[in-house]
Amino acid sequence: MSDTPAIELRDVRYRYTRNGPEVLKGISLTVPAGTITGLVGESGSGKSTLGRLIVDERRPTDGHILIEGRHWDRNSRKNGMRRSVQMVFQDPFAALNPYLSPLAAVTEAVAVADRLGRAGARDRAIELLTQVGLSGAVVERAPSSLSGGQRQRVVIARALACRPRVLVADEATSALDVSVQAQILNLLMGLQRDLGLTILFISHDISVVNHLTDEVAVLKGGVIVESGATEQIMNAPQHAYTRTLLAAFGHTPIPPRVLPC
Amino acid sequence: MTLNTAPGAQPSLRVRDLEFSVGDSVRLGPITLEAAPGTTLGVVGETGSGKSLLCRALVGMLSLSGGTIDAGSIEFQGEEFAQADHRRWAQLRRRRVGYMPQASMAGLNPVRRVGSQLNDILVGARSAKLEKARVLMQQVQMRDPDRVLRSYPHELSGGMRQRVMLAFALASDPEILVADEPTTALDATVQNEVLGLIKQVQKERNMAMVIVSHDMRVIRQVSDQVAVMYGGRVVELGPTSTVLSAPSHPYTRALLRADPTLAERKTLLGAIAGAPRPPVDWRDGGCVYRERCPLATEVCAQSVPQLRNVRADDSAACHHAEKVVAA
Amino acid sequence: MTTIPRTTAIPVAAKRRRAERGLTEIIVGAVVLLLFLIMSFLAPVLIGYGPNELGGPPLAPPSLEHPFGTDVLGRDVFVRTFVAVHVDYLVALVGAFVSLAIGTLLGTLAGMARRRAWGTVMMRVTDALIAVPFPLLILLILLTVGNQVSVLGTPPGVFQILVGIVVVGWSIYARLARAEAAGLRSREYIVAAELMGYGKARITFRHVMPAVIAVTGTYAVADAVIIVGFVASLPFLGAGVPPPTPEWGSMMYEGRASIVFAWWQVIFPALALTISAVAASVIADGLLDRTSRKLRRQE
Repeated sequence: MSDTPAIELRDVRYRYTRNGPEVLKGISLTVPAGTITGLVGESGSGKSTLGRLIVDERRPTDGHILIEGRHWDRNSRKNGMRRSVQMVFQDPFAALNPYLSPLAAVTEAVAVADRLGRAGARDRAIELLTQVGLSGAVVERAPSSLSGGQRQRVVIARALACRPRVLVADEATSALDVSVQAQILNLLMGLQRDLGLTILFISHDISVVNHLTDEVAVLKGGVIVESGATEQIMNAPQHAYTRTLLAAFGHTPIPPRVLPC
Repeated sequence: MTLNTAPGAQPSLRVRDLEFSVGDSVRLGPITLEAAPGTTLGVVGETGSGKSLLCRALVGMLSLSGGTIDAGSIEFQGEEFAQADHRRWAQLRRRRVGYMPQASMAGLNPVRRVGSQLNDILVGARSAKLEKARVLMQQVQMRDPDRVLRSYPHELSGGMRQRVMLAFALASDPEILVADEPTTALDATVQNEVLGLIKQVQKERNMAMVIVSHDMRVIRQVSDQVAVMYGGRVVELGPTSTVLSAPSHPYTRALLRADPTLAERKTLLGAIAGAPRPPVDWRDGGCVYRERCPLATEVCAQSVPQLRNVRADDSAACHHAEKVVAA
Repeated sequence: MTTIPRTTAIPVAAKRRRAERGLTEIIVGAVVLLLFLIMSFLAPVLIGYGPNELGGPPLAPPSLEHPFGTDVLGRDVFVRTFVAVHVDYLVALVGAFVSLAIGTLLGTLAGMARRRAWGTVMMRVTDALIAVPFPLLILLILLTVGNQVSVLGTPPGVFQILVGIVVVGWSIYARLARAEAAGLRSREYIVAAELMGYGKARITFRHVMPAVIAVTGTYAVADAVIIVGFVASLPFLGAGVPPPTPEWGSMMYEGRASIVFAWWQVIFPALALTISAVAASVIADGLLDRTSRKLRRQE
């Protein structure tokens, strides 16, 4: 395992439009290679935007993004770095081309990644699908007949075709049932261990992040309020917001006071 | 199996052997459960368990999903409603049953102000209605009731919209509140506040409550009794503290093992192979869960396990429930 | 929060039945149109006269010999009604589908273009075109080129009409295609394709285009119906297919003076037009039932 962090963010700022509000306000973060790092926040915290920035070559309004020590920008496609960061999306139903079977979709990904013809790519595609737990007749079915968990596996297999170094999972299990979520979380843990992947796991669900990640960063209003080893943060949160968030996932409801309106 | 209803008090809601279906192939039930005044029954299940359909059946809105009640009884305070016509159901919903449907944006008319929609639900003279509306807003912890009443749904935050939906449900001073996924799509902190509010309101009014959710955490937080649904049937029924810590049905146990909240960090979760089964025709003779169950034996394929008392108040629909308890 | 709870309240079986019903509708509609097409070749053989032959007394009412009667010149209306299918179906099909092809291609490209400016240019161009009154344009073309000219072996005037239809017609498809393509660009599987390094061409033609065609193609079938009706209205504006080519619109136009006592000249072409239009609509409905299955999110 190298010492170069898989992802490094240096004072990253982002606004969608030139005069619009800053959605990310100076994010600095280091994601160590080979770990599962969590990014936790509620809606509006900017976590999804950050995830997108990391996978896209879109330039942040300010600051730098480095992937494995190299600058990540529009030149990355030329350097062949483009594929080293892949994404697993929240909505498994929209993440697959409805006209392509899992095998077809993954074969295409392999064909493009390895510059092979359709036939040459097929073997590796089958291998990848097996690696995520899909084999047999199911790989030739239309996506519409697959369950959410199966689709998410296809998305992961397709992402793996590019031999990525980093996987960004943006609320990857939030739309899945508990039992299916468990399957996917297990899969991610296994892949990280077997392939040495770095996984950035973006989620609103602290309990999942607590279970899955080695390191975690807490995001609020475009700013990281706290970051560090997951166990430490969960047991001894320093920031008030982290404490509030943890309390929300505890078992006692906060007694109602007059709520803002 | 009976719940801990105070002697003499009639359960607000009693469902017995309810069977309902949507079209030819989706069949649910028979389902038996109860909700007593001042207590909360949580119905938990994954996708396809039929919990949302059950919710709709309980308030007489099953026909909106194209379904019908085939057999069994639904009693509110002893009055039978399973075969009631639309008018009686509408009357029931107006007077005695409050319903919070899933997804607040869908439950509110986006082009009308909150106040005017609330106006439709209330009865009485105009000034009395306005006063009642304000009182309701206060009861759901709105600091500025008039402003909320004047707003359009999209001007309110998700949490506020849920509280508005709660107010609508409470407008008729119901004896029982049926809430379908009341906190999904809300941030965790807001979720907690809304749940806390619901509990408080329930206590104040001594209402019975039925909450349907896929989120175990929500169910654990607010329910006294819990019914676990799978494949269109109730597979376990009992007090929350028992069922969600020492279950007697393999499915409940598997669900708990798959929950990252309860597991040790960085360990493999106890995932259940396969996907949750939709409520297609279960009458092929066996247990709905047998294909994914580690304890399944031949008898599980041959006869449908009925919900039976396994311990004190806990019932499970499983031939091998004793093994689950012993483990 | 973006967690979406799912319900399987709408059973999968109902969706499947809907798709099957879609197939039935497509087959029923197609069969009707096919019958018309077959009759367009059989009719002259069955009756024994061509569409332009003076085979009977003028204005004769329907009889065994002339099932739909004869027109003012003594031509058999049955034969003319069915032979008119050649012109009307040709114009409808070619008009709709050439417009579809051009519009879909240009619209998709505009929607996928990196610069949003292309999309805006497309919208303004199509705005202008949609504002052009079809008949005026066709009249203009017919006057310029002359309506007696026969191009590519088609009956005289038909090609000119087609050009008029396509020149303006592609714009609706382009707008639909651009909107659909632009919308798809943010769909996760397209984003994924970009992330995986797929080239623009691959993404546009293998991933975006099929979804776009599902939308524009369905519209094309409905459009074909509209075009037939439109072509039939042209003679009334002086821009129709010139005589003696049989065409439903022309037939109705020519027979309108004597409609009171020789109703068969107008009624039968009108019926043929209506039935064809309904059949095509049924096909469009069926396509909608079948394709909406794929595009909509499924449980």
